[in-house]
Amino acid sequence: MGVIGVGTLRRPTAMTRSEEDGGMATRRLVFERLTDQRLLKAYRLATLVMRDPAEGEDAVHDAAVLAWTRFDELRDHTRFDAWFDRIVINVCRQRLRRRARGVVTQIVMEGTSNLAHGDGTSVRAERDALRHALDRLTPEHRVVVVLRHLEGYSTGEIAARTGEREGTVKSRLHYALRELRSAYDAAERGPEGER
Amino acid sequence: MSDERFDQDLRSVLHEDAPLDVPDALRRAVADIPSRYPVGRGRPIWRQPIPLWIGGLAAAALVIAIGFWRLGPLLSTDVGESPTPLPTIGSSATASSVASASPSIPPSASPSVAPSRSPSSPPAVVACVAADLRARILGWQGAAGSRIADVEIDNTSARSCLVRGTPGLQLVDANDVVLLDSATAGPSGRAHVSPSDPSFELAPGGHLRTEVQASNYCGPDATLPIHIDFDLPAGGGKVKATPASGVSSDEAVPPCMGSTAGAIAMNGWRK
Repeated sequence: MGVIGVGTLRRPTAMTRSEEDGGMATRRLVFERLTDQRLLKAYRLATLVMRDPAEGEDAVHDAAVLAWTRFDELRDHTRFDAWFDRIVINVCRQRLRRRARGVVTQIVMEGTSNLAHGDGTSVRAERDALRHALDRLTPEHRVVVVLRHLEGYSTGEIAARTGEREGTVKSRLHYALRELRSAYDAAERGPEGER
Repeated sequence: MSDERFDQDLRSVLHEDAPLDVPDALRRAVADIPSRYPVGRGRPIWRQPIPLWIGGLAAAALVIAIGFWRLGPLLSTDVGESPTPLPTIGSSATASSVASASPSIPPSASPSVAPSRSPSSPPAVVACVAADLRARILGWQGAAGSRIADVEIDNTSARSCLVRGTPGLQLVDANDVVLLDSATAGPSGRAHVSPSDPSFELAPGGHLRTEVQASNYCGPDATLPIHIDFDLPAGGGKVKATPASGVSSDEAVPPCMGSTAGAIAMNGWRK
């Protein structure tokens, strides 16, 4: 048979057992150090994109499994953060797509949206409107908003994390913010001002 | 409403909703990943997470059982008992006589699924075409970032034929949308035969196995069920491998990894 591309199904041949064990130990140490440093940021990102802390937790775990099994593909470990973010984002998008195929439910950040904001009713209404508008954004739009306004990344940095062109990122950011702004302004005008 | 205040409120909402710390359970689970998911160059299938190899073992046991059931009559013919009609769809007296008249010693690199004796007037065994074959997906295994299908092809025709080379592969959804195509998403490439490729002679009712691995699909949502098209070399036509009874396609679409190109490839054919 000619080309057999399923390398993962083959028995290792080139390395001795001790060489392989030593390499694996190093690989493991590096991976653990890098993921430990990135875990909080990844969890924040996933939670906000999924709009649910438990779903965020699951997404980060899945992403970490993928990252571990594909760790050899990352040649430059200084790029781990962007690489791992990208995996997290892709896992989130996939889980959201799967969720969209099933029962459609409005996921609201129950655990966090009830936090005391320490400000007046009007401000709270506007922020609640923002939360609901965030819930309604597409995953792609939500990702760019979170990366920009929570993490403060430039559009170039967001493009590196999403695998999109910078122009696409700018466009998504524009439309996402327009949606959010519209909901925010409507809340500020009050019930009679809403459509 | 000022842009500044909007920006400030948006940042506040995101910061308020963002968790402040990683749950201990998640931290522990992630720290445990290297132990629970051993990887290495060419990680063998028996070192994949337990549920996967148990599933593979069960599938292998099933195939062996089916193999014994199917090959039983052939084996008994080999030890000198009277010829028994082959238990294949559409087999007939003519078919069994053709099978038993085929050369007893195939080329060394051409293991025959149904070896037979009686070397008189050996008929020419031609390459299998799509109409000769039926293909089924016996199960899907989920490896991280990939999906692996166990596939079996059966010769459902009344003649023996040869399977050789690497077919083109396509992962296709229920609407016939091609999700991954080896012609563009290697490494198997287009259908081809290499000089070193062995031939497998498939008697009527004979079958071969392979595994097809697909990874990194980033396109639109696919409609289930998923099937795999095998485009046979030398214009042999397309064999559609559909899920066997009770096999779900829920885990058939490989996850999008983004950073690398999608791919679909197969292992070599084997008995």
